[in-house]
Amino acid sequence: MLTTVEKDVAQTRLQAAVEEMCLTLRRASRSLYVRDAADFACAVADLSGRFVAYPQDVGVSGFVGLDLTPAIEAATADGPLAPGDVVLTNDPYLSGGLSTHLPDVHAIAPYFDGDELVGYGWAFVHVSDVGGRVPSSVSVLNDSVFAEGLRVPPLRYVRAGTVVPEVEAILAANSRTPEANRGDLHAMLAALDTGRRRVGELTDALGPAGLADVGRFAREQSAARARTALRTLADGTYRFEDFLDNDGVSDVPLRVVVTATVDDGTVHLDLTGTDPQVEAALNMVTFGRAHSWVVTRLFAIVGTLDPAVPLNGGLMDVIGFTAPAGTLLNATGTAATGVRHATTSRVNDVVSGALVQAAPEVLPAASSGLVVPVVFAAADGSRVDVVEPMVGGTGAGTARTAPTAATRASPTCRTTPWRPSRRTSPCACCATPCAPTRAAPGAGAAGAASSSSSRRSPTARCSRAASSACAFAPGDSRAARRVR
Amino acid sequence: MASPLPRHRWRIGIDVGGTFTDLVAVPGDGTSWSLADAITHKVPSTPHDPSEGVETGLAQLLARGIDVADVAAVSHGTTIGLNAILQGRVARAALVTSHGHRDVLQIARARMPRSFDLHATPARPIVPREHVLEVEHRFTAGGDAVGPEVADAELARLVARLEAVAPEVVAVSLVGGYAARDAEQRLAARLEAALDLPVTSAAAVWPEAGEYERTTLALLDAQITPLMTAYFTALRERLARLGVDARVYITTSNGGSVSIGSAMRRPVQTVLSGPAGGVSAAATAWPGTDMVTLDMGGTSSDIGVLRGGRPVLTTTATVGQHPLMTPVVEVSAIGAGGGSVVRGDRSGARPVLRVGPASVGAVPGPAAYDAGGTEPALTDAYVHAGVIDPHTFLGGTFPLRADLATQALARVADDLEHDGPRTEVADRPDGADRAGGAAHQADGVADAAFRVASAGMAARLRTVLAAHGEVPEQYTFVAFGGAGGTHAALLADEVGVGRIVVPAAAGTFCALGAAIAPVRRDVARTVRTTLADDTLDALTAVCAELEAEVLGWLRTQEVDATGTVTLSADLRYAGQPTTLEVVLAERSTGDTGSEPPRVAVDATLRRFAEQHERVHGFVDHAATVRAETVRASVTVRLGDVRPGSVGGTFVKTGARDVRYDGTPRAATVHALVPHGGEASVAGPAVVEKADTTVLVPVGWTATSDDGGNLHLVRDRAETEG
Repeated sequence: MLTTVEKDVAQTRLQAAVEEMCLTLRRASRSLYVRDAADFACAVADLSGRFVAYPQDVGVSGFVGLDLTPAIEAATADGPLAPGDVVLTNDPYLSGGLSTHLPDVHAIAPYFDGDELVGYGWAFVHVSDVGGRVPSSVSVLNDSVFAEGLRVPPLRYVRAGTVVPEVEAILAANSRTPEANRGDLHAMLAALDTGRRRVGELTDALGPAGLADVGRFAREQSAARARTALRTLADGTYRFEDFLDNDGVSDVPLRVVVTATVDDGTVHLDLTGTDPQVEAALNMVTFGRAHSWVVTRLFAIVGTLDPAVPLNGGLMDVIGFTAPAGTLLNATGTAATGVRHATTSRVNDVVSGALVQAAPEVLPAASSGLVVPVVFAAADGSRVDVVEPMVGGTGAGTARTAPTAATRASPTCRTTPWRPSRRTSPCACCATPCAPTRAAPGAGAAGAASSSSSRRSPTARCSRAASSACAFAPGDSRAARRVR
Repeated sequence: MASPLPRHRWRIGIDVGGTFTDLVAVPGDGTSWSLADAITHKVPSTPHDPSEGVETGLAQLLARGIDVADVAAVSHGTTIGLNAILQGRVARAALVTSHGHRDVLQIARARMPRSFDLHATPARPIVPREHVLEVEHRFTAGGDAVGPEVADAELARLVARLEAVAPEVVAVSLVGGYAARDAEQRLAARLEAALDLPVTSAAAVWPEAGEYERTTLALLDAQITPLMTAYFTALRERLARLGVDARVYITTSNGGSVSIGSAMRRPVQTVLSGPAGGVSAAATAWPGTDMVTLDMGGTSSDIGVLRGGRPVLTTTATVGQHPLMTPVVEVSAIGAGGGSVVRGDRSGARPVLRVGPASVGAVPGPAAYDAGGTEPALTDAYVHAGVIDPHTFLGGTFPLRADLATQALARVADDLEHDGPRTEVADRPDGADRAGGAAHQADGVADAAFRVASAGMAARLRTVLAAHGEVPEQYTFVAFGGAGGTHAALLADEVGVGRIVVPAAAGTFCALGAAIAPVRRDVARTVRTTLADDTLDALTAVCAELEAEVLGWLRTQEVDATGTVTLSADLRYAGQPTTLEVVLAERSTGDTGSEPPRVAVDATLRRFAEQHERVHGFVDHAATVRAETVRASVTVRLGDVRPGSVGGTFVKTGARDVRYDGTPRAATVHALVPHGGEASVAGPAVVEKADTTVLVPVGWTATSDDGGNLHLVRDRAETEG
């Protein structure tokens, strides 16, 4: 029986371990997605398949609530995992919702104490390309998962410490960027090795059951803190809806509806009424369960009210979820999922719209809702520069949540300095103004807060208006002209 | 100190802290010397006018036997600029930028500080939007002006608009200005003449691409210019009053120092010099060693990393929330300090013990200070656990109350067990009497406090090193600050470090850093070119230009000794988002002259590959390598510290029980003496020095050298057993 201090100290060490895993992965990778966009993460799970420790400051935060169990079950149907095995998968359907679109390749390594399985290391990377209809594999116009590239069911990529050559060959043959992918996969393996060493140190000190004890403790601690934070929301049932403009194929807007029930520090999200799944890549696979990627706004509320809450699977213990099969948030069959972030971003906004009624001082109004990657491409396709993610502003809020030109849609992305983009693109950036203040009616305290300031504050919806102010002058960077 | 001090030329280092102003005098005639030759002095700081404390301290130090005529140099570290920025006590500034870019400070990098925080807000713009004015003047990335120079009529309009803002200082930062320094400086000079105010050109301060960072740097520089000018002027006057006509240097954030004139012209280079001082001191005292400095003070512990004896610099440091793009010594806070509050945290399902981040502060201080504080601090745990002797703390000048420490810690145990599930730290034997029960409770809290504090510090230490691709095991801790020596071995055990140095002047180590910081200047130029044979001439030309610039600067610094010019470049594989700084060429200032610096493509690519392999774990021989920024630095070392040889000895002064890992142990207590004692001490032991208490746990052996430094080494058998 471990003491509280032992479990607490072990939790702190695991926290360092998962961050070290991330830094190992980042160091060993050279893809832009990993290094610049930080589109990766690592964590350690115990035998429950849920995370004991998850990185706080590096990588993607939204996967803290993933459950590895369905993917592990799928991979072990024909026999248990052995030391040195690593499972790989990228398919939302075949991994039981572990992956959310095909470019996210997930790796799971079983960790042993001697012969005894004690837990798992986990890593994922958004790789550059997994084949399919378009370069980078992601297009809203993909009409089924088969158009989106190679589907990898949970299978052994590494067996007893050796990469399975047949698997590697299939992966390489199905990507436009095989070398970069291989680098990313091997970076994940390096990270999983780091995790194995650290978990080994933990079980050496605390015994084979140590990780389970620490896992239970860590999740109970975070769940209790999450519950305390969510008790700030007034009990009740709140409804809100919003739309995606269209599905890219037709002009029909897509409805996203949530009925949020707050009950004594727990929140149930019922997405019933949301539109059916579409023949475009806007679907999200959840199997009707609370999926980490769909409930990130609730994590954000908890993190706002309790900034020091340790991130682990316990955060999911206060969250319930319903979404009927065949709808946007519980897609079935072979629906395409590449641009699922557009849909979940709208879920964030409707969750905010619902819960702002329960805690107006905590939640800001809806933000601009999307991030537009600005891409300059030569007409002949010889050159493509992803200049920067152009962001909208934050939603209005109370004085504490004054709107800014930054975004919450993708808090970790950042703009690029003007000069490199001017240098690498045949294009000059002539102006980067904030749009004037536009406090929407009903923003209430927010509008008042920003307009009562004697300054012209940066605005509720503020964008870097690069596209409207820049001229594209192919072939000559000096010839750029301002459009007036 | 009855005997007269040996006749030397002296170099005096001064570090102004929040509580104390520390002074250290070291032999300053360029010869090698031992740390034992250093003379240290401490006086209270005078926050209303820090130069007053400096004058008092210097007068007292001189009175200890230093002839004012023998003072060769005074080197001063100050956090005045930093504090002014953090507290917002800066000059009212206006910014002039190119048309269309007025919101450069609002937009920044459009990045949120935290993911899961709906209330997170980006840095407040360094100056409000209405203080930002646009002018129709900009440059291409190649430095060519777009359109004509600002006409007199437009300048007059600009001046009128600026006057309406009523600034005290102005910064100019134009699009492309980094590539057109002369033109931007010309505009700044015209504005300065018209406004009769200090006007800072961003391109003059740091001509590197990155508009938000460069503009911010220029504004920070402008904002602290009046304050720093006034301070440096007052300092000069006070030194003159004492008859000190020595050269005056100011330490800088890159771990070096510059003449006071240079510091006045570009004060922003001094803002992070305080924490850099300890790292510089380690670099000079133990060259060539892989070290982590552990500065454990009252509120936090800070670490710096030295790889092969060279401080690791960063170009992504921040001041408050503002980026500082110039290279500065990387110093990271890793957790608790001696004053960190030990408390029960009941926010989760079970109460847990936490150490920090809150601090009891200097007033009331830890409960043991008997100044009214009831919250226990980590220092109280040291006192209760017998690590710190209440009667000999700070050489016995500051008696502590162990009973108050014990009571305060016992109250935390009550809090941990109160109505929640029972926690083990509160276990106590049945029938224990009340006082015994309190002592027992306090034991549990102190045990837990050490473990929790060490685990938290270790976690941050590991991630700081992991970011550089390093693990702690090969490093030596250099532990200073009030509690550095006390906690260093506990942290070392947690992370697997096997060697610790507690320097002789542990309590004044940053001042020592000021005294021995080399004279140093960094410059940089954005180049953005491939690194290949056909670009070599252009690259060499930039190198020659930068070398000439730092050498020209060096001639203004009144330094006689020869130094080193290092030319380096930030290199990356094409398409890679991050760069590595790779040395292009290095030579003595004495060897510079008619020959331009020699840059070899092959050797540079080889060095890049080696570094890339180490930091990133792979090499790509086929990929194009690009140079983004070329850097030059000139460094002149002002004498060497002689490595201490084994020679110091220990005398046993007592014995007491200590507990630092949950088990009470009988420890011996020792003091350092130059001769005649034991050559080494095996743990469990405590070595008491005038300015700090050093814990030597079981499995560690302490030795000392003739420089007065303490060396702790973990016994091999113990690590394996």
